[in-house]
Amino acid sequence: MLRQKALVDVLGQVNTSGVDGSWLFNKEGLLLAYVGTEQKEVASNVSSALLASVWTALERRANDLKETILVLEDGVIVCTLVARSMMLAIRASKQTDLGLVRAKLHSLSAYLEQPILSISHDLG
Amino acid sequence: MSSKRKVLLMGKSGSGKTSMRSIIFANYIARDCSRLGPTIEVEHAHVKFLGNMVLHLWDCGGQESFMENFLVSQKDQIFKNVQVLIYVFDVESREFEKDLRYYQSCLEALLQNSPNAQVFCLIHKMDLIEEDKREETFKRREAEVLRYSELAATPLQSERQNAVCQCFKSSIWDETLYKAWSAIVYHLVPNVGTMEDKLKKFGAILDADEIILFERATFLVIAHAVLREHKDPHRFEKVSNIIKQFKLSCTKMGSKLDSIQVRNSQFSAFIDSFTQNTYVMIVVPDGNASAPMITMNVKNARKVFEAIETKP
Amino acid sequence: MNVQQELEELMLTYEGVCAIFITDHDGGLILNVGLPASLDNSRFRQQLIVSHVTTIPQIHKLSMGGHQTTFAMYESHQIAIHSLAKYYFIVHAGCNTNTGAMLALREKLAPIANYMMSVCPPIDGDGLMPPPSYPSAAAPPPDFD
Repeated sequence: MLRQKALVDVLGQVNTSGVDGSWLFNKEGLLLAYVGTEQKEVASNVSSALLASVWTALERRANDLKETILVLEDGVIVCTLVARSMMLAIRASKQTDLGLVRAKLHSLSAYLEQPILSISHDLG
Repeated sequence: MSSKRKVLLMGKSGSGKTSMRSIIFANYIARDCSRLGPTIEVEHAHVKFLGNMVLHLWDCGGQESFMENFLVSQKDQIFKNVQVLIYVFDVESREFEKDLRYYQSCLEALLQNSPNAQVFCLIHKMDLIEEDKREETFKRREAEVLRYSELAATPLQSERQNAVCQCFKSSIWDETLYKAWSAIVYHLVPNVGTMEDKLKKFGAILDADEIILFERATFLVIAHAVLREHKDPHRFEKVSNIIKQFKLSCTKMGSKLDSIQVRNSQFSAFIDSFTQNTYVMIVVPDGNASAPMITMNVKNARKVFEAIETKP
Repeated sequence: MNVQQELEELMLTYEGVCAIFITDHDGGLILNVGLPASLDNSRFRQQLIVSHVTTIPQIHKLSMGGHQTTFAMYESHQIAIHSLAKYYFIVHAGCNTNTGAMLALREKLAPIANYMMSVCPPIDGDGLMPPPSYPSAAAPPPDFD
């Protein structure tokens, strides 16, 4: 079982020093949880769908995609796979050091890997 | 416990036994019922309920000549090995006294032959009574039924403490039919207690207001867990009624109902196919609850509930 | 400035970078240096360009400003795609190449893009042209759906 509250607590832990949003969603782009500042123009479930579609496009050519970094004018989003079926994304401001953002992404994904694997492994 | 349950459906001719059976178990909708003719002697119907349980419905024609037969020459055959008697009264009947006497005779015969059977009485066709008089009429009828139940039980009191039945008001035109039948099947389903315990735990994990388990074919409520009280006591039957009709319209389109999501700013409700024999409905007090999260947890809970269902 | 030569020099300066190519916003190839080892060059290149170009409208919808860089790390290689002026600079490298260096390569590529804009700007009217307010952003026009 995956508790919404527990998941939100874990995701929220990375939202410090420049990081202001973290998503967990599935490869279809459906949001499981978002923690962070809500953007005015784009709802979190829309951005998760967009990120999933970007991922799918980049993965179509070679299915060994591990991680993506999107550098945009107003911020950075890093994204990786958790437990084969889920995606984790983190948004940070442009000033944040990218190494720190990636370190957060990696430790969060490592932390979530086992729990998510155990609840999703026999769902096919 | 045998998985086959013998269910007697009795009552005066034209009281609506076959109609309600057709709606609950044969996917009729209320207005189709006008096509049904009177039942001759006994119609047998085997309906699968919760997959491994078979309800053997004896739909007993209500014309007086049949009734006499049931009570005299076929007494043993009809009343032996019964698990449930459902006796249907027409609320508008002009000879209620007479109906009650037949009921008393049937109940006596039942208590002699199947002392452990459960008895449910439906005061049917309530839609014919004006709305503000329904409760009062029902109370009056119920009191009479209970009085006759006791008359039937008194001579046999040593064998059976509680022949006094439960009464429900019902009508095929609204959700009361589902309420009555849900209460009846509730007594027939094994492991209901375990299921409700697990539902409660499941609800706590999901932070849900309410979780309801519906039987797949009939959409009758078989178990529910309420974690936060709700003001409408008839909501389960309303949902049963609405979703069953929706499901039937899906079938007409050649597709099968899998899941439904309903949201507003206050809540999200998810109806999802659950175990082989059930649908589950989850109500969460959060309009933005994550659907894949709920779906994933539902899939995980499925194993637990399938195990409870198949337990002998 | 000899763009071809500049790119080849950059490619050799950064260890592990095995190809750099430049396309316009429609995905049309403009220039190509280096050969991705062990991969069928032209097919690989075309798929890469197409998959990248299709992501641009999605990235724009995130409303976080124009696109600057997309970086994708695969088990066997890494790709960095920089939007500069009206071009995409696609950098292909092995998996051991320094990721930070690949992102920083943007600064080195900027003068090349500016030079190219001055000698042969791409034809206007391309579907993914940046709106005038974002000089370096690969953003579709506002009515783009």
